[in-house]
Amino acid sequence: MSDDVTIWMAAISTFAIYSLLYRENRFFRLFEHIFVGLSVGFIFVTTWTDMLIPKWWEPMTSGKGWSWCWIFAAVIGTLWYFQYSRRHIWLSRVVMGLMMGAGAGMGLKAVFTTYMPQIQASFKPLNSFSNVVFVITLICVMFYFFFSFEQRNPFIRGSSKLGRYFLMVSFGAIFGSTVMARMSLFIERLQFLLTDWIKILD
Amino acid sequence: MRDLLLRLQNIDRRWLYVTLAIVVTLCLLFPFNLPLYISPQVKSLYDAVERVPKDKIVIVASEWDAGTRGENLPQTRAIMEHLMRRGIKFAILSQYQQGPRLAEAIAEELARKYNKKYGIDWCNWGYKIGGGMMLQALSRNIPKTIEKDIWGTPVEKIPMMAGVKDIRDVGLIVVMSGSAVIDGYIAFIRSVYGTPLGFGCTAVMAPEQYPFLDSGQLVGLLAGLMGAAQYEKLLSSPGRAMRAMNAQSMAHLLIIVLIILGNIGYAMSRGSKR
Repeated sequence: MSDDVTIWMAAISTFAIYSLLYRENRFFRLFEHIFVGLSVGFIFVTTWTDMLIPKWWEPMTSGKGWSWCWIFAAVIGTLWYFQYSRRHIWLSRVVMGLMMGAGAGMGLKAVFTTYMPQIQASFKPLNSFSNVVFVITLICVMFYFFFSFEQRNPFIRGSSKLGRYFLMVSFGAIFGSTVMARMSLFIERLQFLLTDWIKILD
Repeated sequence: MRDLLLRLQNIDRRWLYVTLAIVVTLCLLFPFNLPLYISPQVKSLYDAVERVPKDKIVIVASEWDAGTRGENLPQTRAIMEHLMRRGIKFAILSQYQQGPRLAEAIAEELARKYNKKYGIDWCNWGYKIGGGMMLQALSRNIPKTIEKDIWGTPVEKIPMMAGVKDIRDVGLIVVMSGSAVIDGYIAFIRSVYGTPLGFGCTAVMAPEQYPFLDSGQLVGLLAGLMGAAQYEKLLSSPGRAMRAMNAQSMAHLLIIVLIILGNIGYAMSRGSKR
């Protein structure tokens, strides 16, 4: 058994969280609240130490030239809080508009740089079995998403149906991967209990 | 048999949890060797690390927290071990608050094993905010964007950072994450500057990453714990991921058997109602 207090705390927390599998209980709820409190506290501290101090406070108080202008960043940022005032809510919209403009610009750039190479890669030569499967799947799934007109033509209807089956296969793969991911987390916890806490394993 | 299958339809789900826990525990306690196949996307990430020139640094983006530790930790460990073994300098970067500390612990453990020193062989840029904007700024000017490492040391005073100016001095970026943070690296670095980009994701995200592999936007992919185990095998350094794979395989087998039994029982119960 480990003689490290932190390992014991981690082991007790693990049991507390897994106790929900038996049934809802106070032990679980206590640790759930501890976890939420710790997360909020951690985020609060790191927001101050890793975000506001190096990116705003230190430049503002450096005393170099126009460094005092950083105060306006705080003023603009504070406008967010006017959301709580019915009378002055329009002030929060100023900063919201700035954020939305910047976000939209970034998003537009990201759409081109992310998806254009994928569209380009979709034009594959039909010189291998996997390429043929890829192109058939792509076309059938695109037929499935034609909602602008009624699919009366048997070819389009058949392709659309096939596209739906291909989508089902992909959903199955995603669900299978989800099970695998959750199982990995469970195994990691058991490895921790057996290796670091009880020390049965190396 | 028919009665047993019908009775299984109403079994308390807690018995399934206990069965699963017993199977996984036994597999961990009594290890055995199941074959482990190396997938092409893991091999290509391994090869990408092998190709990194010695005069360039690698960014290990530790974009994960305790919630996905089970999958992202062994991935981060495997990549860092490969880099330290090859003598490639690397920097830890994260847009997750817990990320830098979690990666720091792994790097310190490996540094003791490979006799590497902080600041000379690796460094920790810490938690950086700004998302896509930060990544764009980083690409143009690394010292100005990072400014200080996690310990407050100015970047220009870190020996391994001498000569590192912009993204052209980075030979590879490997992102480990359980979220879509990879999109920013693809959109603002890989697609713009062509810097090779590898990804270690949680298994649940893996199917969505294949189009990026197919288009060449990702040089390689580690899909969950399995990806980490395959990488450990390539390194000939069996760690927790490889040991966990037997348990993972047997747990999957149990789930498959339960799904089949459940469906047979369901079909029988429908038949008996008719």
